[in-house]
Amino acid sequence: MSLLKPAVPYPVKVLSVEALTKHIKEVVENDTLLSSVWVQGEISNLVKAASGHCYFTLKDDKAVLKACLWAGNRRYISTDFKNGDLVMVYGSISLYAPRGEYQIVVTDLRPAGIGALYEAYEKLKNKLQAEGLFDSERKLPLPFLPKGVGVVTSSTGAVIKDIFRVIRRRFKNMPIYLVPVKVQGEGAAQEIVTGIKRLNADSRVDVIIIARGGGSLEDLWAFNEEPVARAISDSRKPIISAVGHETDTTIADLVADKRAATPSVAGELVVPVKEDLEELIRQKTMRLSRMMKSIFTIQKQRYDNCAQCRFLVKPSLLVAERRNNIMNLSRELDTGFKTFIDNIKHRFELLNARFMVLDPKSLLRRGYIMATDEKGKVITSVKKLKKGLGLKLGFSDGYAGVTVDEVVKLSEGDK
Amino acid sequence: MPQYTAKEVAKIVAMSKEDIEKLDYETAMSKLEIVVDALEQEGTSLEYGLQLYAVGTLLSKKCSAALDAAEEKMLQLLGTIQNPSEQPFDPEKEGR
Repeated sequence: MSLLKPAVPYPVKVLSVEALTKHIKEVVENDTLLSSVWVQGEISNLVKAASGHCYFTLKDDKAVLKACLWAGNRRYISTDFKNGDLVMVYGSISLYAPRGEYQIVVTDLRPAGIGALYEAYEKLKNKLQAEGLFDSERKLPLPFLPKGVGVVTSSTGAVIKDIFRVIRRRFKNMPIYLVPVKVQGEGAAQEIVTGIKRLNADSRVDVIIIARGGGSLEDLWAFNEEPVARAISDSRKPIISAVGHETDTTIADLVADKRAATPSVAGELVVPVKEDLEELIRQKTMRLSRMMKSIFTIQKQRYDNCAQCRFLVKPSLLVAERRNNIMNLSRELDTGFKTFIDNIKHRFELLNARFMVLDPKSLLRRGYIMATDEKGKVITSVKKLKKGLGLKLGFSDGYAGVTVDEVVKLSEGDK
Repeated sequence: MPQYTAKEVAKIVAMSKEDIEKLDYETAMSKLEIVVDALEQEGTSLEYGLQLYAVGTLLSKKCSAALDAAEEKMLQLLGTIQNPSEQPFDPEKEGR
């Protein structure tokens, strides 16, 4: 053994600290695991700088890790944190050469433990979504008026009281069947599943409410478990979920046929207001009666119109009306015939009067004389007359034989 | 006024009492309307008028009887509506 003999031969090349550090930095920062990693630990030595940057160390029983959170990333982190908090951070390992220190540059920070739940939640949500369990076509319609309402929730606390109060107020005698269950902690999910199955088998129930008050993600966890989701999905009766506050959407809320923001809203969704229905029924009943009466009246009127036909009421009119017609006709015949005769008489008298005027005897009576020759021929001219010719002069009451004494012929001008 | 042909009227006149008995209210009513119109028509012969009267009387009786039955039924139903039988819902049962 010699003190002079070194374990390693003298180097040909010696690295500077900077070069070595640079090499380490490259190795570290190019490592896949180290460039995106979740790490969990307790916060200590927290410094929140005025610039907005934060510096702290994460530690557990065996090791510490320096961490920095730049102001730009801090803005996206909703969780508040302080010394002593157990957190999980996401980021990349980087090396700070001037101090020869490595640290994690944090881009996300969440309370420890929640992360696992969130992941499980997201995983189950994606899985069930892929199976189509949230699809709107799968949602069962709520009954207009259920025979009875099943409720799966804790038998104590405000939730069941709210549900009872709202349902009672809207529909006084609506039967409500409660299956009391644990709504958080060990065995809660199994109890909820059993409750849903039991109410499915209960023929008195045709709509189910599953409810729980608000709480942390852990508190609501039972409603994010797959068996509960499956039980809701398999239910043949529609399920309304009212779990947690409106902002916490559980898997149960997504699978349920209807989501209510609060237990009271669930009560409102599940039953109509009885008084409204009664009023509606009253109105419809009145309308029905009115319509029935009106149809009857119309038909009765239609019938009466026919039944009042005079020939049906008094068939003797069939004969009587005709007899009347005949009498009228014979009366018309009588008057017609009389008029006919009168007309003929009248015409005769007119003709007769004219005839009387033309009768030569009536002329003789008025002083005219008719001259005839010996043969009885009427003489109307002096042409053939000669002195000494015998004529016969006719008067109205006789005649006289005369002889022509003189013949004077009138000249044309004297006529 | 109802629209009809002489042939339809003749068909109605030829119906027997049994035929008419088998008619429903609506059919009997529309036939009655035709008969009445034909009866009031001027120029209907006396003999045809008497035949129309005979068949019209049968139709009228048929319609009237149907209306009476309907009225009785209606009054019965109105009585039921005004006094509905009280059928209480399940008595309140809570819990399991």
